[in-house]
Amino acid sequence: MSFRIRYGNRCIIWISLIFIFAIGDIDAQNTKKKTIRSKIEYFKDQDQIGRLVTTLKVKEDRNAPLEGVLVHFYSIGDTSKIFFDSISTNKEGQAIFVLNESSNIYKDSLGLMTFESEYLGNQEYLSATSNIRVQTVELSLSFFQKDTVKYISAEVNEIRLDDAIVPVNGVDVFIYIQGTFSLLNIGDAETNHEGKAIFEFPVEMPGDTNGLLTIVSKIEDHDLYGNLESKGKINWGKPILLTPEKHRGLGDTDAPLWMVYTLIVLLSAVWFHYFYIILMIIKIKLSRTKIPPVQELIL
Amino acid sequence: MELDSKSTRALHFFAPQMEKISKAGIINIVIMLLFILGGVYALVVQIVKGHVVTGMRDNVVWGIYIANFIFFIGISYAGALISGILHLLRVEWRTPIIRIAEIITVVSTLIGPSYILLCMGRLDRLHYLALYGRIQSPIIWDVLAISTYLIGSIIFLYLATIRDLAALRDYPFKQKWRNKVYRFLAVNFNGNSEQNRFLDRSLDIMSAIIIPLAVLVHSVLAWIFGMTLRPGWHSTIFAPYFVVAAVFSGTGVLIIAMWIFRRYFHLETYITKIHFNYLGIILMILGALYAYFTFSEYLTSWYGSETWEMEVLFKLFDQDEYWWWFFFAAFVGVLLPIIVILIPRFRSINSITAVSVIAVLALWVKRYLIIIPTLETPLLPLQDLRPEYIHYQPTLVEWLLTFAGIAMFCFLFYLFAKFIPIVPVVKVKEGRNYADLRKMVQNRIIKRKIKELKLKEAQKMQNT
Repeated sequence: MSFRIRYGNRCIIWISLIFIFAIGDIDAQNTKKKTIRSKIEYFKDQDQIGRLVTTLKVKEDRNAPLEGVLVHFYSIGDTSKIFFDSISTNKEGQAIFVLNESSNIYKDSLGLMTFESEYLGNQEYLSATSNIRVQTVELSLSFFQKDTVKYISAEVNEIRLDDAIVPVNGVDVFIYIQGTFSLLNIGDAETNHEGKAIFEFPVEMPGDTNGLLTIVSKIEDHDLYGNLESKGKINWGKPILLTPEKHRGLGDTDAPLWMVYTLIVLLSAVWFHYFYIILMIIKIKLSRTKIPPVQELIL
Repeated sequence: MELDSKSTRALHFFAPQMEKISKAGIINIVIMLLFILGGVYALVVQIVKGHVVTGMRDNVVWGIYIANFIFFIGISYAGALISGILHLLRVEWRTPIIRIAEIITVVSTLIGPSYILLCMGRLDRLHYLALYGRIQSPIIWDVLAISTYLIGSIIFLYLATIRDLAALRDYPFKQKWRNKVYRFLAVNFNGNSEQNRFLDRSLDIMSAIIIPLAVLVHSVLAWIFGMTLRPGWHSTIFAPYFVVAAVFSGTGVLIIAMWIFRRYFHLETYITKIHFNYLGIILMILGALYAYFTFSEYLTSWYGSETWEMEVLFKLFDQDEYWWWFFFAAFVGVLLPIIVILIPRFRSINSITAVSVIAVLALWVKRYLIIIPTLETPLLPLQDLRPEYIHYQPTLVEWLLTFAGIAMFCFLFYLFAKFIPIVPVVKVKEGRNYADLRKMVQNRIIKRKIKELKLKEAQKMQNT
């Protein structure tokens, strides 16, 4: 039995198939996952506590931060890797993992550490992985004075696996003064063969009421050392005694004294008279004419 | 308490009236209660659904509630200033009208501030005024001033009624509870010279205090507007302007109240044409003063040509916006009372009352025009907003509560009239004081002349 399809029916079948594939293609386009840009950074602050910060951004959404997804952190060894934790990203798309003493970290013979962060992706987004290789260093601050000139010294030392301390040469160190709302940059310099970067302290720098200043030294976004920060306090600033000018404002919590006195005087004057009148009413009540009893009158 | 014949006659005229309620009185009470119930219904709707049931929105945050508040505080002036001044000046003709004025003060000072409560979004935070109130805020001044004023007004009314309360205490009422209440309130007053001295001194003090207090209360009210940097409000003359407007409207309400009581309580022998004429003349003078302030206020705004001020002015003079309201408030309501009272031919009890009604209505409209056009003219331009967010339109809820307030005013007034005589029954012989004063002055003159004569005689003796 032969099965023949008529030309007209064949056309209909072909058109239907093309339509179905076209729809399928559209669906495929709709389900195309978005690319995630992942970047891992290493930070070490004043307390010598390291932090791994992974930032996830969606490439197709103009690099908008990806919020609320889990990022897994690892320490990478030669043959294996150690899982740290899974951290959810915040509004800025950042997942922050704090390296504490209990964290098992692989280190190579030179003391280098390799970290990895991994986002596994989902139906909407593709997976993303990023790595960083960091050498343990210490950034310290010291202050000294020669004649009348004051200096800040920032010292950078590598800590090797055998606890050997090796000065680092040629690293850019930035020096800031901590302000109320931001950091004021006062210079940057490369470390010398002793691992020291020396800065001349600017004169007439305003401090707090005691002239105290917080000096911040930073290594920023270094390929091998990441981001390091060290702080120190010194009273080299010019003491500033703030005597803010008083301006009257709608939001003032304290009323002007003249107003308080006026109000007290006015209200006291009025209320004094009210009480006086209440006293008068009491007097009226007490001073009714006492009519003597008839017997008393007869006597 | 012993009464003279006039006072006894008055007591026997008023006391029986206070005990019974006529058919017309019952109808009036029912009508007033219906309005009050309507207000209660509106209040429940407002509490349940929130302020969205009012016409107030983000820009126009004050509506007719605040207009009513200023209006009622304004008419409270009738008692404070008129009765205070007339008492201090010992004006003879004041007696029949002084009680009405004092009751107006107390009742309107009770009702006025309740509109502030209606205007507030979060009444549960009312006590924050006491806890976190800032002395430099005019709102706090207002709270302090009005509460002090209310207490002062109640004390003043009470002092002025003590003699009548003592007379009523001794009157044989059928309702015995009345005698008990009067006995308590009369504080053993029996008219002895010492009691009279204490009472007169207290009345003099309160009369002297209530006048500046009343001026201060309305000035503070004006400062709430005047100290705000808004077009149409930020004016140095707002305080005296408000004070004059308040006395003007207060006098108008006093005349209306006099007319109503005269007609329905048959007080023709007590409240005569003379009282209407005198109060009419006061109304006319205040109207002229108010017209002067109005002209001065708008002339200054117009001449300055400041952008936002001009925008408010244009709204007032725009026929599609507020012109007819403004015309009624600033021209009809002010000039008509002046013209009618100024020309003796037009001056009658009914005509004076009629123009008083117009003046009172005009003053209410004026308060509306002070608040709404300014709030509809914010300093930041309004964009992409629905019309109801820009233009204020009072809703049924607001009107119901407004009429409920007026009904409550009448109802409380009626209750007062049923408890204390609307005209003081106990006459105080103040004339005797003047006679004593005259005698004293004459005696001094005679003594001085005798002294001079003696001196002359002594000089003559020395010469001889």
